[in-house]
Amino acid sequence: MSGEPIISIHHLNKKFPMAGGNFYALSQINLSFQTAEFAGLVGPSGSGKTTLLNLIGTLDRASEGEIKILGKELGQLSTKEAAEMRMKVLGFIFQTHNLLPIYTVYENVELPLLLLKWQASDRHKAVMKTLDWVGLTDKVKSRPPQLSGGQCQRAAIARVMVKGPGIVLADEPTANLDAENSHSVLQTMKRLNQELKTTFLFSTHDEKVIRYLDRKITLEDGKIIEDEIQNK
Amino acid sequence: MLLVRLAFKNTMAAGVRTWLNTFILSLTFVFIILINGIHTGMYLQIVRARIADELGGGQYWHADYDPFDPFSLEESHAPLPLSLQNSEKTVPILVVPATIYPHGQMQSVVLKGISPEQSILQLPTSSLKRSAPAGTIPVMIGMRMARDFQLSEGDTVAARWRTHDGAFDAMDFAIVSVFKSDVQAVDQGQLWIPLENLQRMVQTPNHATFIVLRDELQILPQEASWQFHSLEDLLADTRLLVESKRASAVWLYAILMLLAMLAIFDTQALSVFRRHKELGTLMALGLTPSKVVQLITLEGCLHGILAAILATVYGGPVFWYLGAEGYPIPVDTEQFGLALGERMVPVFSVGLFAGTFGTVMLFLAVISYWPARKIAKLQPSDALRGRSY
Repeated sequence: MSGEPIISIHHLNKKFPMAGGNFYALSQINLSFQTAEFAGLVGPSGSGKTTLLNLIGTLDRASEGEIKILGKELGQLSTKEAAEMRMKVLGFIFQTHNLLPIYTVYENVELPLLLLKWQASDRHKAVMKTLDWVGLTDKVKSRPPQLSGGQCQRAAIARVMVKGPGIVLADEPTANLDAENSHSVLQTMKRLNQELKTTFLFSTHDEKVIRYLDRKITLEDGKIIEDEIQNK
Repeated sequence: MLLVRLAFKNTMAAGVRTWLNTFILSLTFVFIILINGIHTGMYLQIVRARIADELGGGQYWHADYDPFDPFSLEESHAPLPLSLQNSEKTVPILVVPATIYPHGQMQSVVLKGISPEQSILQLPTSSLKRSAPAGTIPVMIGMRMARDFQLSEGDTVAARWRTHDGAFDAMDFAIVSVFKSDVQAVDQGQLWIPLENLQRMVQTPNHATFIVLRDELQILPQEASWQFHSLEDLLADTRLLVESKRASAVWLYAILMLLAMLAIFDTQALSVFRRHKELGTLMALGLTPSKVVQLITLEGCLHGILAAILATVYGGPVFWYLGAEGYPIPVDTEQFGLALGERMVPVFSVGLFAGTFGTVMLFLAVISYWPARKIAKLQPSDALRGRSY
């Protein structure tokens, strides 16, 4: 790996107050990620994977240490700046797709572009292109409850990719999918990673996902116990 | 604009719950506007009638005149002051207590002397110029007086009064006309008689008890024994009466508003509680927590806008019809002593619509913001986990 990292983490701690002291969900994490990495945080439940993903995604605040994305220290960002970072640089894929059920697939995918105040014609082109990419052009007018789990997750991927984020954070993206859909979704993400040079960071304990990763970081009790390159 | 779009979509997606809340809120709109419109219409109707038939543009009263003290009437008159002798702009009225004997019964009444030529009050005083049978004096009475004493046009009735020096005198009055007025204060227990006749009867030439003005005078003549009463003074009792009715209706508004606001607060609180994950997703997409609070508040306020539209759809034609045609007032209402006539015409002003809308929207904004405000302190990760604040 070489060049300025897109994400760098130094001496990161995340603690939660508990009766009789603090519980450290993450302890002394030091990591960095380069552009276009396809990496994953793996480990058992409670190891701190999602907490780390949330901290990188500005969805939560670190207790100590620093996280930099594109050179910006997240701890220094105001609420508004953090929201702007999520809007422009970051994309999230959740375990349950988190699509808004009253909106059509098209409207769900269009939403990030509305937030970014894109022109209507540009929005339309981008949404259709992204839906074509994930193979959902025939589901434009469908609402999430009318789709299968795999289709929903692909729509969620489209919602993330439509704005072309630099980093995609995916928290257990295949947890609710069967094997066939899992592979389909992972292949889509891998393709986007290779074609658009988007950095993907997963949180998972699913072997199917782990097999696709280029880099596997194993967490246990809030600490990194292994950081290995694979599939190269 | 995005927030408005999202809020509208979310509100519409709530389906029956939205429309139930909207309907209740629209009832509140319609009720508040209707009752306020009736009160305003009532006030204006009474004021118009009283100005036309009773008050003119203000009055000068003899210093001792008290319309609520019949014992003071015999003394409360004086010669017309020179400064107020203007037949174009003033109508002097002499008030004298008397007794009449309709159908053999004795009834206390008030004789009011007025010039048959006057044009300031809309009473049909020209009818006093009609000829009366020999030995009688022409008088006119109101319909209520005629009904209560079973008198009608063409009847004669014996009357007795005291002259200025205290002697009793009596004569027959011929009823030359029965007029209709919405103002009971010019009707019940009163007989209108040509001023000069009355002045002669009580031997007080050129005397008056009060003087009605055409318009409020720019320069008020200062007369020691005459006090000016502006329209504002003379209408104070009417204003107080309507204001007291308005105040009593506030309780009804409050109850209706409370019901509507409770329904919307409940919906908003439930919505915030149930939609944590959705709100967390919006934050993950880049909405700041304060924008999410704005979204929820906007959704609440949209109920108000939808309610206003719904109220316009079914209340608008009702307001339009009532504002144009009014509605008949039950005969019994006459006993309340209000100069309302036979139909009540509510008055719905732009200010009333705007004021009601603004007030309801203000309450809605507060009631919608209240359950949403704590979202601003919530970390997006907590919202995504569906964690409560």
